[in-house]
Amino acid sequence: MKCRSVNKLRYLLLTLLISSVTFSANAISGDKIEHTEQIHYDMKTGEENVYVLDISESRDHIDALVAEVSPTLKSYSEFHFSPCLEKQSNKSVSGTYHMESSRVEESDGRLSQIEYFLKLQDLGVQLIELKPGQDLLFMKQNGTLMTINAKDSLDQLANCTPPAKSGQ
Amino acid sequence: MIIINNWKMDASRCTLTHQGTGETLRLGEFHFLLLEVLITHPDTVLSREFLIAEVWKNRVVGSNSLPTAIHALRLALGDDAKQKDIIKTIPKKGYFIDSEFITYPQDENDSAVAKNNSEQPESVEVDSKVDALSPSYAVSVPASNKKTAARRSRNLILYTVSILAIVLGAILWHSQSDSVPDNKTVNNDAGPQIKYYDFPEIKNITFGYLHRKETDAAGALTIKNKAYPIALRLSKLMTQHDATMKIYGYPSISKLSLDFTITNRCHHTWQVVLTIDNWQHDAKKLNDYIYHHAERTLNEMPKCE
Repeated sequence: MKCRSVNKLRYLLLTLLISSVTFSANAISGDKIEHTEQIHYDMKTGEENVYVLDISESRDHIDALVAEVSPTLKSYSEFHFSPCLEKQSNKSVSGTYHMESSRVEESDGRLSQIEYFLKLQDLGVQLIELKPGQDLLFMKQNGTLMTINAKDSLDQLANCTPPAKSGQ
Repeated sequence: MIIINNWKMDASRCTLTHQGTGETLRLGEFHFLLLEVLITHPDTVLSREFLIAEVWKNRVVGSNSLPTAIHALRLALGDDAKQKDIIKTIPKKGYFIDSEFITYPQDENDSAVAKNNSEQPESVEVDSKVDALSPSYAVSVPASNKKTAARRSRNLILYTVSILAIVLGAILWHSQSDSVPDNKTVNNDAGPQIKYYDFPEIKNITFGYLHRKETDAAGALTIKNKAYPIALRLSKLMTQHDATMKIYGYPSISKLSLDFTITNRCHHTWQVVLTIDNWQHDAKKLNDYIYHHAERTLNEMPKCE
C-alpha cells in the first residue's frame, strides 16, 4: 500500500510537471496538445506499454519527459537534447538531436536501452511543418512520428553549425 | 528502383507493381526477402542452404518452404510454369535469377544496387570455371547463357560511365561549394514528405502519411484502400462526439507508427502516439485497436460544458 501511495504521488507530480511545461508554451498558436500518450503494442504477443510524455522543442534545446503508466507506474525519466538542424525544403528541416544529459528510471528497460543508444549515437530527426506552431517530428532511428507544438519557425530552427562530433 | 519483368519492387511495402497495368501484389515478408536475395546475386546459382539461411535466418523451416516460396515468386512475376525463365532451377545446386529480366531505371536511390552489380561482374562469367570473386555459396552459371554475358558487359560499361560522371559532377560541385559561404543549404535529399489521403465523404478526419520518394503511388493506393474502413469508423465516432481527428502514419514492414490528435469542440486536444509491432498480423484487430484508443481518448479528455 505504501509503495502504491508513493507511486500515486509520483504520478501526481509528473502530471503537474508535464502540465506546467505544456502550458508554459505561450507562443504556441493553434490547438495546443494538452496530453500525450505513447503506446507501444505488439500485435502478436498482446504486450502493451503506455507512457505519458511531453516534448518541448525550441531552437536551443529539446526536453523530453517520459514515464510508464501502464502496466506499471514508474517515475518519469528526462532526456535533454541540443538540436543541430538544417533546412531541407520550405516545409522541412532535418538533422540530429544530440543528448546532453538524461536521467532515466532504472527499472525501465526500454528507456534504459534508448538512453544507452543515445549516448552512442545522435538521434536522426526530421521536422515537417504541418501549420504554424505545429510540426510533425519524425525520428529516423525508430521510424516514430509525433506531432509537437513548436515555439519557433522552421527557419529559426535551421540554425545549426555542425559540431565536430556528430552522429550523422 | 528495381523492375523485374515489368514488376516494380517496393521494399517498404513488400509489394510488386506492374508497370503496365498498375496491378499491385503484396508479397509475404519471406517471399519478398527471397526475391531481394536472388536479385542481389543475379545470374549466380544460390544453394538451397544459403537461401534458407539468408531468408529464414535461424527459424526452423520445412523442406517445402523454399520450393513453395520460389513457386509463389514465379507466379507473382508471371514466370511461365514450364519455361521458368526468370527464376531458374539448377538441379541439385539451387536457384538463380536471370539478369535479363531485371532493369535498374536510373534513380538517385539506386546507387547501392548499381554498385552492387558493378562490383561483381566477374561472377557472371559464362564459362564453367568457378569464379574466384563469387561468394563461397555460389556456383557459376551454365555456359549456355552468352547473351546474358554480353548484356552484363554492356551494363558494366554503362555503370562505369555513370560512376565517372557522378565522380566528375561531385568534384565540380565540391570545387564550387568551396568558393561559396555555406550558411544554410537546402539539402537535395528532401527525405520523406507528407501526403494526404482524400476521402471526399470524410470531413472530420485528416489522414496523412509519410511518403518517401521510392514509395510508389500504387503502394500508397493499397494502404489507402486499407485505411478507408477505419477512417470511416473513426469519422462516425468523431461525429458522435463533435470532434475532429488528425492521423499521421508511417508504415514499415514490421512496425506501424501512428500519431493521432483529437480536438473536441471546446478546443481540448489530446494526442496518442502508437507504435505497433507486427501490425500486419491481423487487419481487423489493428483497426479495432486504433478505434479503441480513439474512443478511450475521447472519453478521457475534458468534456465541454
